[in-house]
Amino acid sequence: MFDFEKEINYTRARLCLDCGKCTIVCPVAQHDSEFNPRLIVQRRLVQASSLPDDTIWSCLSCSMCVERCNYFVKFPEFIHALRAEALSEGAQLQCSHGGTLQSFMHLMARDDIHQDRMGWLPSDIELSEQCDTIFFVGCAPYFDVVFSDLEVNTLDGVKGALRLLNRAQVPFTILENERCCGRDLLLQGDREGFLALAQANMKEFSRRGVKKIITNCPECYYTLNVDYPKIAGSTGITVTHMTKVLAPLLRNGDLKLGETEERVTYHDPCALGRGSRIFDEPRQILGTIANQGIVEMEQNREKALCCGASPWVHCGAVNREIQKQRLAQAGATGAEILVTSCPKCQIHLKCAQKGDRNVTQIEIRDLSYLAAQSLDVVVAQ
Amino acid sequence: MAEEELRIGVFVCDCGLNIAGSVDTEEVRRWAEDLPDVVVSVRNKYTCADPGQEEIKKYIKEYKLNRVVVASCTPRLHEPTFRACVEEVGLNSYLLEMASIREHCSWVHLHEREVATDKAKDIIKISVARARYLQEQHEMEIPVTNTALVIGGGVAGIQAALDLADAGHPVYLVEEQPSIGGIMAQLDKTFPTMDCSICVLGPKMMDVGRHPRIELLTYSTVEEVSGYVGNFKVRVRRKARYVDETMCTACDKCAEVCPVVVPDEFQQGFSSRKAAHIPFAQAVPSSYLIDMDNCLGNNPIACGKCLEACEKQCIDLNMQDKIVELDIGTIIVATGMGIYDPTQLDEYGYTQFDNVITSMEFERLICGGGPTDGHLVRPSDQETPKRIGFIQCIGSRTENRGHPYCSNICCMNTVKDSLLIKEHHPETDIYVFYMDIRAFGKGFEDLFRRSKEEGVHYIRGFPGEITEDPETNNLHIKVENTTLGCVEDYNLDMVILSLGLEPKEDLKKLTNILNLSQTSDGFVMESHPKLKPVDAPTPGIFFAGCVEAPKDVKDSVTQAGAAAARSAIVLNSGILTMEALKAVVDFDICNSCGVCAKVCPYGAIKVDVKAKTGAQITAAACAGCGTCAAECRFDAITMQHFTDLQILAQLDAALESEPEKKIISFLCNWCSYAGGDLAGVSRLQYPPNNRFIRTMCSGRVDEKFILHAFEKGAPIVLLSGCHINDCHYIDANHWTKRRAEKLWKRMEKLGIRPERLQLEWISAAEGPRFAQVMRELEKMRQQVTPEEIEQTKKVLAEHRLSKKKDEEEDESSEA
Repeated sequence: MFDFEKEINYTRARLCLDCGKCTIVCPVAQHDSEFNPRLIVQRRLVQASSLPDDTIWSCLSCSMCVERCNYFVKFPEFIHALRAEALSEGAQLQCSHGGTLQSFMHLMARDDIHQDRMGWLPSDIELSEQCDTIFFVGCAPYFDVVFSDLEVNTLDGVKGALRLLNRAQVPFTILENERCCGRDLLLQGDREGFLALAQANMKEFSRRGVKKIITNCPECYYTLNVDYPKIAGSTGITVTHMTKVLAPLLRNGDLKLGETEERVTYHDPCALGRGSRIFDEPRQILGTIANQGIVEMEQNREKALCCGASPWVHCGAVNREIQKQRLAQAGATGAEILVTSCPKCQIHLKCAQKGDRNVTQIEIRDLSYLAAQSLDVVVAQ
Repeated sequence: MAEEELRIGVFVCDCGLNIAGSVDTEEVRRWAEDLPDVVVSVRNKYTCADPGQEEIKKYIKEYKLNRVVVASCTPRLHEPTFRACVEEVGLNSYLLEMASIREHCSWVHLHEREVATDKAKDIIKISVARARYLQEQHEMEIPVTNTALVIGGGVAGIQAALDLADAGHPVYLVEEQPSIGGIMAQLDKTFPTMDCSICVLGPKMMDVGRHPRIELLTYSTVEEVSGYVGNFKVRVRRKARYVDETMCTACDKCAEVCPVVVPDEFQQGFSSRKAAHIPFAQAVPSSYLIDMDNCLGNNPIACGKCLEACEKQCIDLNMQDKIVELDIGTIIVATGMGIYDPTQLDEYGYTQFDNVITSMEFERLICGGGPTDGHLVRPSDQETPKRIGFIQCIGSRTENRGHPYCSNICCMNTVKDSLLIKEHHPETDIYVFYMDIRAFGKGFEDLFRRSKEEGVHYIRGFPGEITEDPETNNLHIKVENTTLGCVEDYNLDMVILSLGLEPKEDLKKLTNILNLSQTSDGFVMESHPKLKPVDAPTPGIFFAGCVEAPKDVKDSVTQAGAAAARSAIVLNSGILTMEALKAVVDFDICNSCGVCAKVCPYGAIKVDVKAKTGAQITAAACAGCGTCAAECRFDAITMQHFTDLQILAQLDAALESEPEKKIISFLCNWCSYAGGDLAGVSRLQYPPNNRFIRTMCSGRVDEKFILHAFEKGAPIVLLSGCHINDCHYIDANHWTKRRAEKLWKRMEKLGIRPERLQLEWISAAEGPRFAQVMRELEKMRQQVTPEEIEQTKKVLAEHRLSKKKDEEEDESSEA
């Protein structure tokens, strides 16, 4: 059952000093005066009756507020709890993209689903069938279909990661019936939906005796690493992000990458940066490829601005403003490529670029893809 | 010494109806007569009243009693009374034992006369068993050196030194800086009276300098402290000043010629000084010194200009540090605090923007003796700022870069600063960004009100960030005005970060030297936070000022007076009498393993594990917790008045009949036993199956006692002490916890359910919890089957025998 008190205690919301620093650093609050993280906490904790609070759907779960909070109040988790509460009281979600992604996620939770999960896999990728390390692909194959109009190719990142692993002779396999990790359902407050996906995945992990998971998607990484153990206790599985695999290989000389002349800037995905404190590895990798070095944006690392992503709900003008702001920051660096490691960042930033020539038209590329491309340069040399 | 014949007298008290109302005291008295070695058993209406005491004395003389058991109230109430009583007729007071049949019996079994009567008999039986093993003890008398050491020469140390010296005691005042004065000397004004800080402090500093009973050791550090209350040996390093402070006339000639210019720390780096310098104009001693880290060298070829300039020839560039050994009776620690460094709060730009300054820097900027002669200007362009912001709680009330506590002084300091600015420049716009203004002291709210009347704006909310206009160096602040719930922007000329206080960086070093503990906030731990707030847990050491917690000048001075008075009690006594609860080593058995030294919370035991010369216990430093005796595997340590024999005898008596119905509870004197007393006073009823064994500290409870209880058939054993961090012997109960954890594992291996040993922390205030624990223990007891008890007895007996056999074999093989 939904135990609100327990959830509140977990989020530390009662420790809120009421100081309003979060309001200042929150990217949503900057563009939407109605959205006030401090007041969302105060309203829910102080006022006896919880009036439906429509502003709860605007939070990006970017954790910028947590970074600055004197007491590390887990505001994103607080919001997820409020959303779950609102849904249980009959609130209606405004799904973006026609609810397609929600449908996919719910479909994937079903036992009788048979996905064609391997159709995209290039023939030159070698899998080690009996290996207890898996590569968790994530929803890239679906994204590229749904967002084909944006010309995103998030699978490029996945394929790039797999090529790199093959090159470095890191054995892995891929699950034929992998399902969505469920993060977006968790974020939008759909606890049951998330639980169904998580349990289906974990059942498969244990059936296959999985010991280690590598993933390229920061959202999958965070969910598998942090949220799954929360519901299942210790899963006994080591979860690693691709950048954490790659950086030591480069450091030890077990993998050589080529170089690129193009100037690059790096956009920290929230789940990887603030969420998982992985700031250095992506920069180490990028640093070896970009021979002109990395030019940092005004807001980087702990202070990096979110791509304006939502869990596919309530996407609007505010999200667009944040995306434009982020792209403008990238443009101001003079870089030619904005490199990131998150498919959702790519989708959201490209969406902002589409059809608006006033928005900074910088190229956006996945880090693993860029690294894999550089392999060809090494071969050519 | 020939064993004298035991002659025990039992005195059963009615306590009016307090005991007699629920216990058949006459029946108990009659029954006690038949206990072994009891020669007389007497019943009294009020034993503690004069007639009652007279009767005890009469029977001691008449029956030649050499042990006395008073069965009445808790020993925590009347043990001193009866000790004095038996002493009067020449019986050593340690031959008295009390049986608590009121708090632990009649009051908690009010309506079960028969049950209460049986329990009272059992309690007396246990006491009589213990009384058989009581031995005369002689309290230790130790001489006291009538000299105090005050460490730290800020306002607290100055006041403590003056108070003690004025009271007639010789005092050494050790200060690490070249001058006394501390932080207060750097402040412009003090709140709430707004008087000039150095004007009120300066005369006190001078008083110290010329006081005939104060020996001032500046530029000196305490390096080593050994000994105990009344008899500390202290080693002090007097750092070389390179100037003879007794000869220097502060003529400034050396500084005039000195070519080395460095930032002046006293002025917070806003101005410069020479390598040859005096810390500040009012410094005491009024003597220059050479800053050897920056001096061009004590080589005349390199420089040596000061040597030529000094007419009195008091500069010696080859001067060496001196070590001074002091004999000290009491120590007052007044080393003050550190100030939070805001560098890590980069969102406020302290390291990036010139016009973001700290509250300490502001004190120098506004001070007439400061680098600008008191003209308030901002660092970037030396212009007078027209719009000034203060940000509160910098480094305070946070778990994210800083400290979780409130620093106490920063609110009032900002209120004071705002009024100072208004005094100088009434037209200045001042904005204070705060969360709560804590104006709790005398005159504080009045000052806050004045600040508001002067038009200072108080805005509730902490800024999220500060940015700078690179052209003008003006600052832009974005803040949510949480009162209005809207985001506001402020353009300011200067921002002052109101810094919190923190423990001094090197406090850990000093606490190691003095064997003191720190509380979770890093400040020193008091003996008792309420009732002994200036005493260290180690006798003879006291605290004054911010070393204990952040506080203002007035509180520091108040505390200094208190520490001086507490210190004077010891110094005046000449001789200290200490309760004869001391650990004693049997050198024939001790093999110098060093465990006792490791567990002693007071550092009272020294063991040379290589030389194998046995554990050396400094009796005066031993507080009597008994942890060493419990931890010694070789039983080489005897804890006086709480010996193994006494406690084992109590267990045997308690478990002699119907052990399966009994629960053995080991209770520490200060918390759990007192919690039991409170349950009694509160008349909280609980099942009568518990038998209590009092020790001074739960750290005394040897695992051997617990296993003995189980072997004798106890179904359940409780081990109970003060809550962790509340231990009356610093941290001895950490060892209790570790011991219990080890024992649980061992019990599991032996096939004994670990749940049968319960560990509970019960404070003196937790009467209801005590009663609740007693009820829960009884439920657990009912779950233990007779078969289980028999099995345990068997296992433990075998275990003990095999262990004994092993030891014998070891011995014979060694032989």
